[in-house]
Amino acid sequence: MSEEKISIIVDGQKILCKKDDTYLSAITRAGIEIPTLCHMEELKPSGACRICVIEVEGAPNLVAACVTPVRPNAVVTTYNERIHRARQTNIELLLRSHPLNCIVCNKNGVCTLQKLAYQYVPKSRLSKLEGKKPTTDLLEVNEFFVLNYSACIRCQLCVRVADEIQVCNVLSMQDRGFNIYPSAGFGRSFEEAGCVACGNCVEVCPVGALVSKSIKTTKSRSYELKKTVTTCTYCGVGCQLEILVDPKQNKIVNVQSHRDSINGLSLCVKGRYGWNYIHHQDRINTPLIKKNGKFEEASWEEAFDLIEKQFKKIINESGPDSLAFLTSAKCTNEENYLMQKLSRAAIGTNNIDHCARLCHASTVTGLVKSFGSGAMTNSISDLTNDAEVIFIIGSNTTEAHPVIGTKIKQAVKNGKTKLIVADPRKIELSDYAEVYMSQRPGSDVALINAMIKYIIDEGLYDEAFIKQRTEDFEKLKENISKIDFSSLCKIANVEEEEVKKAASLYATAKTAAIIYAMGITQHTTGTDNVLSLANLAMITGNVGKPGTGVNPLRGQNNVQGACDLGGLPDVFPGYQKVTNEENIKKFKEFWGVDKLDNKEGLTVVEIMNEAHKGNIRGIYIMGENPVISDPNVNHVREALEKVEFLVVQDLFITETAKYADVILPGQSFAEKDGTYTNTERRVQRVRKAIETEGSRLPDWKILEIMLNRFGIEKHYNSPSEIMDEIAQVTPIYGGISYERLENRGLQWPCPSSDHPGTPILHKDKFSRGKGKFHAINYLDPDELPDDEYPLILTTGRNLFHFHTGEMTHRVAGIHQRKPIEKSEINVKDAKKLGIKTGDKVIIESRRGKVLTEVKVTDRIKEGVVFMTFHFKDSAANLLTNDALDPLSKIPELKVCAVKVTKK
Amino acid sequence: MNKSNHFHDITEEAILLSKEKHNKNRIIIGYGTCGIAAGAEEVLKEVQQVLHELKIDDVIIEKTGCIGCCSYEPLMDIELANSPRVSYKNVKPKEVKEIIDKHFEGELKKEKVFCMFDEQENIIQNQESWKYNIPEIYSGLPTFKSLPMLKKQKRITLRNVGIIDPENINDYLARGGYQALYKALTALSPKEVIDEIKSSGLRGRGGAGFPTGVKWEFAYNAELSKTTEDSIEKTEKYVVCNADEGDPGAFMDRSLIEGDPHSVIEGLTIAAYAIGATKGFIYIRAEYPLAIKRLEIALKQAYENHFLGDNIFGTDFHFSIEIRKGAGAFVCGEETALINSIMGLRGEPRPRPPYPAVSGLWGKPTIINNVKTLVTVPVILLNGAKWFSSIGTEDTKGTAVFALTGDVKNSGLVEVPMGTTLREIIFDIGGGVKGDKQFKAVQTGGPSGGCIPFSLIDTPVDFASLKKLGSIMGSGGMIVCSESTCMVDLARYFMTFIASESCGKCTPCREGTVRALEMLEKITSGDATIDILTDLEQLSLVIKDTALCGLGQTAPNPILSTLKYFREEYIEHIEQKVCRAKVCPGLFNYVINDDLCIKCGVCQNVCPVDAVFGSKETGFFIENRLCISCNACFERCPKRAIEKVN
Repeated sequence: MSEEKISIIVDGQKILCKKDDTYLSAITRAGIEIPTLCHMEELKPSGACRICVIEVEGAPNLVAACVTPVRPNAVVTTYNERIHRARQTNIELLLRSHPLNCIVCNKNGVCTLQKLAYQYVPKSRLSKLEGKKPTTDLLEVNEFFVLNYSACIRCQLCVRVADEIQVCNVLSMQDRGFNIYPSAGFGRSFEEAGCVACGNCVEVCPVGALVSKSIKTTKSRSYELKKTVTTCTYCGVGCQLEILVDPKQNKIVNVQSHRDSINGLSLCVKGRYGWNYIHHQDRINTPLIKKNGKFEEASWEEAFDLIEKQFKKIINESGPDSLAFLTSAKCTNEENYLMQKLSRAAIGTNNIDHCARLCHASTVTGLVKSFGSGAMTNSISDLTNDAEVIFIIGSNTTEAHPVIGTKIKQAVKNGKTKLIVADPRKIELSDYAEVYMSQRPGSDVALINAMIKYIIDEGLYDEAFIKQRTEDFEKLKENISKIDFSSLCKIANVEEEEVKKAASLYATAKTAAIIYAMGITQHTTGTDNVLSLANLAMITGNVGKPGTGVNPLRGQNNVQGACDLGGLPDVFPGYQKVTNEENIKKFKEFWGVDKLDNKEGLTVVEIMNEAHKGNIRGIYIMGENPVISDPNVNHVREALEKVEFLVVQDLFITETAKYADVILPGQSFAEKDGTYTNTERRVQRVRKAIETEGSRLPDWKILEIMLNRFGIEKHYNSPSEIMDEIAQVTPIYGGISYERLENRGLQWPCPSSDHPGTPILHKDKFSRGKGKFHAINYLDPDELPDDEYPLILTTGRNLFHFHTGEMTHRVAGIHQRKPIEKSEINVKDAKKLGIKTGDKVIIESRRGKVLTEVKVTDRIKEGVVFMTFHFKDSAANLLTNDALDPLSKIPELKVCAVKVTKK
Repeated sequence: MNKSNHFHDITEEAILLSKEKHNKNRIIIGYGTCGIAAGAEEVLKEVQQVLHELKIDDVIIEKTGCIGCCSYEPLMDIELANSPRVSYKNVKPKEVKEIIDKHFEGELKKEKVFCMFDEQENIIQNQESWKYNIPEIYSGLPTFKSLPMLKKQKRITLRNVGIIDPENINDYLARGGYQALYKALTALSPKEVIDEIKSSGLRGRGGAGFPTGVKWEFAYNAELSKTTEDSIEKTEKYVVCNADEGDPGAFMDRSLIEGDPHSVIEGLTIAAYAIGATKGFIYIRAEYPLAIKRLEIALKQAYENHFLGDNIFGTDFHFSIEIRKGAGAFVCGEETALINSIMGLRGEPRPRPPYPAVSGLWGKPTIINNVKTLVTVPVILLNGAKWFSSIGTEDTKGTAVFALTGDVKNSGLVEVPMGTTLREIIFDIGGGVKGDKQFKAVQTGGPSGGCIPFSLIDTPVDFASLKKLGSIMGSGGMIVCSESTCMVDLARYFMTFIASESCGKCTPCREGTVRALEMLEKITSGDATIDILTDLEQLSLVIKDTALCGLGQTAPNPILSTLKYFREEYIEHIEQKVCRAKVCPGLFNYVINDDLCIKCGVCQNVCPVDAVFGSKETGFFIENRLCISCNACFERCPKRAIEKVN
């Protein structure tokens, strides 16, 4: 950066400024306070409230500090009588249109207008604050918040946050002059205008106009609420929340974003409003033991005794490998560590896995083969700040990772980034895309190979990068030379021109990032898909620098951490192979055990298969719900029926828990301490915000007791001590401690206590040394449509729900928004079948059938049907195919053949 | 292809056609909006009817724009072959036949004659003026230029209005149309064009008076080119004609476009050439349908003649113009709000800097000029900067165009050299106050302007002088107020306008104008106490000091200037509950003058609140305690027997 030396004189004192400073930014940085009502650092300044006025020598009028760029050597006064009078008058003007009912307002004590009024308006003026009020017979109410127009001060912060941060195009000011008000326009409700209820507008409202409904339920004043900063428990973005607890009731009453974080101002509807399940009556409060087919309350002692007795019996009769453990992508790192320690050190089996198998097993396998590390290569911020081009394939980002979705929209809107989207559905981001390709589900290798072929044929590849950083390019090139571009496009069912455009856009950008999710991974060719994307990134040199990389978006809040901490059948924590003698030796010594299993254990689907066969006799499931989330659910149900002894640890009696012999009540994220690792490998703190109810124990405590019961005598005073243990045996977490995580967390690898963390992987060299190209050829999905099952079913997510819906369905507002599944079918297919929107249909595959409501749309490709898997009454996974990717063992959730009939 | 020859050819042809017209009999109707409102449409129909009846079929009927003498509309001019054009004023349809009959017979209906045009002066240098042979019968008729209303005028901007047929490009070409564009494109570099405008001293006629050439230079210099890795891309730039004339009482832009649309197009195209723009917009109020229609016709003609489009005059200059209609928001005349409106956003101003000349439409350098500014540009290029700067004052060069209205005898469109005094405009040109009432004040600059009292009537008009008095030149509204104008009510009127036209973005304008209006309403209804004046003044000063855009910053001017010059009227309203102009309801009484009253009872019939007592036998009286000052009786009394008294 060039050293621009601009200075201004503020109140007689010299202040150094940056070139693009406004008076407000420069002066507040120098520690002088200037009051504002409509300014927010995250937003473009608007200059609406005119409270931040200052005097600049030479300017005829007062100057709004927030919008005026600094002029070198300007002489500025920030406070004098003229300024005071101007501010006072403008504040009085706002008060005259504002109800002066602070005493009953939710914002009392935290209201900016109230604060300014106290500073600037003398009591004697109160009687003068008269006159007509703006129209108040308007009210916007939805499930989550209320807009009370009578309190609105027309600062437009809500409109600007909707426009600039959420990029939702919902809000604008309507009417003019005294009568303006924020509105969705044309008499529509916010929801009708496409509001996704992120509540970001509510967060920025400086007065009591936009208020979350939940806060209205508390009798405590806003300033009395206890604030706890923690990590959101929904998706893998890892947004930082501030949980506000009413100490009088020990209840959460509001959630707001923690602005100094990766998410900044943003949260999504689930993060902000999806927490009421924590206080839901369905929560389990004590251990439950099934007696005569019915669950009965039991003491912890009874429950532990029973588990110990049963597991020991099974181990004695058929060895430790007849037990299996499903750890949890929802639980903390510390809990996952203890769970695998229980399985490996205490029980003696590597039969431990979790639902990462269902989402990113192929990512881990593929990226390890190509790069040497199976995680997202880059950081969220550099994707959205530094990428000239983002190629999104198989990720419905705005629904599944909403905050990353909004950041991508921001980047496109600001003209920084061009988007390429490949998806069988016209997802929201396709509206922002420069190129949109609608490939047939399961044809990704063909599509990516077509792009690679075009790039190689046109000479658009990065020769220097390939030479210095990679190996086996010749193999790729030779393989590609044998394939025909047109036939690849035909397989993928996409226009050749579009593919060419996408390929050249991606290849010629200075920085181009790939973002993908389960649209890529959940295939029998999942690993091939990932390898192909790695090929694409490497031929164009798009690895190892900001704004590039291959970036799998991890689904659950801690799926990254569950993998990192060894919740996988083949690795100890930190991806240390269980088959490696040195590793075994290290862990034996560290854990103080004589023996560790040295063969790879079973994966999720294999565990169910073996249970079905009777080879797995006992399962311990923590915070997972395979009866909804796994493919071919009927098969899973039969397997769980057959298991002799099933332990489920959860918040609710889930569909899976119904099969359990013992249910242990866990704690939600708001009730315990710990850490989660988000999709960008950032380890962040989870902090206890409320006291739990009943006799529930934190999950790490339950696991500690289990470890003790099975011979590992180790006691932890807090999760912090568990993390210290993790750091000692897990090189990528080697430098992580709670103390260091306090602000913004750390991104692994963080090998030592002085290491700053790693925002970008493979910077100078790949984790495996050289990046490796793989020659990949297209293979058909396991099941293709035929005469009997003529359509392809693909599955995905919806913004409002999370995973199997155990949490979100228990949040009244969210459930109200999306109470039932509405499967999508293309207009042309619907016409052939005589189906219209709102009809009930039966979707049937070779494995089962479900009843669902249908939505007819042209946003889905012809021949494809789409369902989410959030609804147990229309469980998509009754239909899905459990055929596995041979390498990563991920099932093909994204493609199966179905038929649709009108009910 | 030699486009320049092509241009010479069509110009010559146009001059020929124009001359030919003078060899024929013509009837020309003033067909601006003012003329139409006064009944020009009916007159035109009648003319057609009469000619049909009289079986005269060699007469050309033409429409022209507003010649500026609005109070004499409808104007019907008759020009016999090679004879001067004689203008008849306030023509009613029933008079048409007689006038035509006589005129074609070689007689004149003298009492209807307004003036004659003994020559058609062309102010463009080296351009032939049309001279007529004056028949004897015409001797003694006042010539147009000798009319009292015209004597002190200098029609540069209005040079073609009312003279040419705005829908006929040949008329424009014959008077030197597109010569300036031709000169600019073929003989001058963009920088030379800018220098010429700069040295002419032309200041923007939209209100703020920013030097036009300097503005153009900003845009010219703004990011001349953006260098990308492989290529040098020229930055897109835009020019905009601001025809969003929204001031109450202002109609300069409308009349100009209605009467001379090609000048606007030519001026805008020259501006585009100067700064390097290839795309222009004319932002015009949708309430100006006739102006829009004439612009559309003119644009079509300009494209057809290759004065717009690709490779204009065979050069590598391309330029196209699009009309954008504004939905009638006053604030959209503010340039940043106008930019938002063109882009399809809410018409809301944004802070400057960055100025549009640096970052305007779609973030690109954009020049926004008022209609009058652009229309003046071609003349400057043809006659030279020196010529232009010789007119006017040190502060402001050239002429000023005013829409003179209110309580003035000769209302209309006037153009005077800068420096002409208000007295000359109002009394010499305007003929003084209507109905021989007492002059009280003149309001200039529209709702953002201020009121100037009689004591300052010898102030010369230019940007600086008016500003010094707390008023502004504005875009050219000039409203004459007589003794029957209440100055508090006038301030209230303008505040009502501004409060409803504020976009609502910034606090002082959105909230402050409404509160100021509330205070004024309190005063005009006699409900205020004297300390309200301090509050009103205080509030006005803060609005002026802190509002975001020009609209808000100037919004309190009507209040501040009336408080300054007519404070005693405010005090009378408050303390004596008296409105000396007898305008504010409740602050004056109605009485029946028995000497004039004929006891017809109309007053009693029209009174909506039964405040008129009495009978046809006994006579009538008004009970003022019941009266709501609706003015119905006053207006309807056939004998003007009802009087207002304090």
